[in-house]
Amino acid sequence: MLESKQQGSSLAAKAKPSRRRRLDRELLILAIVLIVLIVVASIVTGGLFLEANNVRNLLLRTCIVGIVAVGQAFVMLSSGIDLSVGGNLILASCVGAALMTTDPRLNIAPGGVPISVGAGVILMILIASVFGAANGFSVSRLRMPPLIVTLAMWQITYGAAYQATNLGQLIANVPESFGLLGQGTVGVMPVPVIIFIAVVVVGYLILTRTSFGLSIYSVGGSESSAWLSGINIKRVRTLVYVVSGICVGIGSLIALSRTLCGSIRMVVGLEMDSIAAVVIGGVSLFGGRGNLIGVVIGVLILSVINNTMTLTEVLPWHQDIIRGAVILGAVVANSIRTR
Amino acid sequence: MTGAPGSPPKSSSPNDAGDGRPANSSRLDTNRFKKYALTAVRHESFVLVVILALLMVAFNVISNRLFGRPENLVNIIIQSSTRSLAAVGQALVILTAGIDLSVGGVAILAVTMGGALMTATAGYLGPVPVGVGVLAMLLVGAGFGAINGLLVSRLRVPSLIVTLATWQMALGIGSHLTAMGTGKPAVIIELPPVLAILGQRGPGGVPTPVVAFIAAIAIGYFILNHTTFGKSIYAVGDNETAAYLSGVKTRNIKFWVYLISGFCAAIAGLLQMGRVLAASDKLVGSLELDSIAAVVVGGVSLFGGSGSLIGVLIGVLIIGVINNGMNIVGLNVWTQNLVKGSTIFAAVAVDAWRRSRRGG
Repeated sequence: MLESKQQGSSLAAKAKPSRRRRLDRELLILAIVLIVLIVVASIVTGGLFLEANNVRNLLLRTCIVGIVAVGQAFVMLSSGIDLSVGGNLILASCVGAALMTTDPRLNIAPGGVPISVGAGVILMILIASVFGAANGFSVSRLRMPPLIVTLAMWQITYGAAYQATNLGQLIANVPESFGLLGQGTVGVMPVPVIIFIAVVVVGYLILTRTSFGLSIYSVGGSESSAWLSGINIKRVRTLVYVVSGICVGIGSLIALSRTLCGSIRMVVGLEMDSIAAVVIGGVSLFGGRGNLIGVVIGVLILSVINNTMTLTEVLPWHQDIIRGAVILGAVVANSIRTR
Repeated sequence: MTGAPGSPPKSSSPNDAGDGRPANSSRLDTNRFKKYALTAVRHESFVLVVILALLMVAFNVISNRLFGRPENLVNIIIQSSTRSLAAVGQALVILTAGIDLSVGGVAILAVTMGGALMTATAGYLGPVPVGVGVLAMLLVGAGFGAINGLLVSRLRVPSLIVTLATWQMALGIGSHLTAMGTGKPAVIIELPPVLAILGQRGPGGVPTPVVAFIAAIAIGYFILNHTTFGKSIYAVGDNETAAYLSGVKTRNIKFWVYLISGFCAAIAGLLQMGRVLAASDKLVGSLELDSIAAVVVGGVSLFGGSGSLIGVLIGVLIIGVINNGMNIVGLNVWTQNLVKGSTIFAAVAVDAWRRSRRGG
């Protein structure tokens, strides 16, 4: 056992330089694509793109998708998929809003007494993680396909959010102090951007420096060899969905505090956007390959494209066609590269 | 293996009617009846039939017998026809262990394209003959299916992402087509009245959707059980490597199931368009979800390789009954979503449990 382990590590050491070089090259290509897109965007919009206001706006919009995409990357690296992120985020923000609001008609807290902001923050993250855990449990213990589990969970969470908002009403009157998370700044840095960076750094450290992170790669790469080398596959598969749930919870904090108004139309197409970002960022759809730096660049690429289309007033349905084509192009490139 | 319980024993009695030996023939009948009944009870879809029956009784009681009126029952079948078409195509794809999320988008694209071609208001081509319009609709469905099939079978891109992307593109093109006349997505009306044949009336008083429903299931059943292509679909879904090694052209099989699914989606759109005599980019909502739900509830495994079209038929009816029943009882849309989500979840959990018991 010890011998084989040593052999494995020496093999890994031998393979390391070439693999690292290939990864660097992929990241370089992605970075170049991003820079080219930024240049094109600035030219097409006549400089509007580079105005401070727009850059700020773009970064704020990127944060929610970016944080959720980090969780999505954990799931996809283990060769799963999480389609429930949109519904889950809406549920967490709506329940949070309904518990904290001072509007007595819409408050669902026991006795109609709004809970404190701190308790609200913890509860929102907790709700999203519980649904993530439910996904993980169904996938790993019940051996259900992630696609259907998370698709059904999307419908379930969305339906539950509808009930929590008293049949789809807007829930305003969320305490102003909660808005700090989404609207506040530290120096020139908006708080959401700081949270985003923190999530990325923590995620990166988990993926590269902890045994949990490395076992995600090996489960995604080859489930049977991961099993043979003693990795608790069920635990890893459960935890990646919990991580995705936690990220969704953090995303829901920012989403709610930006508008201070809970709505079942809070985010649209979040699952699509987060999957697209992860795929563009070079994470293999079969799991086991990719890293978070690529995902961050993927998120930025997607945001630049979306922002440019909005600035140049591309019709919404034409945006759909372009977004679909971008995803299709990314997966085709991705699969040709992995072959 | 006829799955329909109840009807078979009648078939032998007309021959014996004038024979003068009623006692003997009736004994034969009871024996046969026993045999058929046993076959039916042992059939894998029997549980589903029981669930369907229980659901219908429950809805009938809750709705004060509004649900059980004959016209409502016919209505359920007509409403289910669109879903059944999409579900047959979806079943073929899922049997190969793939998935087609693009059916809703493709159906909408077919509908809006048909609408834009056959009316003068929306299109720039001017009205084309109905036959040409219908042909174009079927072609665009098959074309999108072929794109899905090529990407999945040749480039080995996961079906989930491919069909998610083509769904979005088809939807976008569909909205574009309805927006050409007015500048924003609109409902195209003034379709040729002939199209009503497709959705409302039909040959001999039987509504066309009912005919299409039965035909789709029958053709699908025939293909799956009595052709090499059908057997190959099961083989690819069960174990692709083994199928490849025993000489099945796995890539071609995978290509064709997506093409058929796109084609079926276009026919589904055609039926829907004929029923309401209008075309819009919101005509067929969540067809992909409903078709996957029907297939999965009908006992087709999402891991591919196992399931039958008899199950899919009952799955379509169960989803139809749930949809219609919830409407009659008066549940709101989101609660309906919650119920449907839970139904799919339960069905998949049962499938996973059965697989683990088999040791698969």
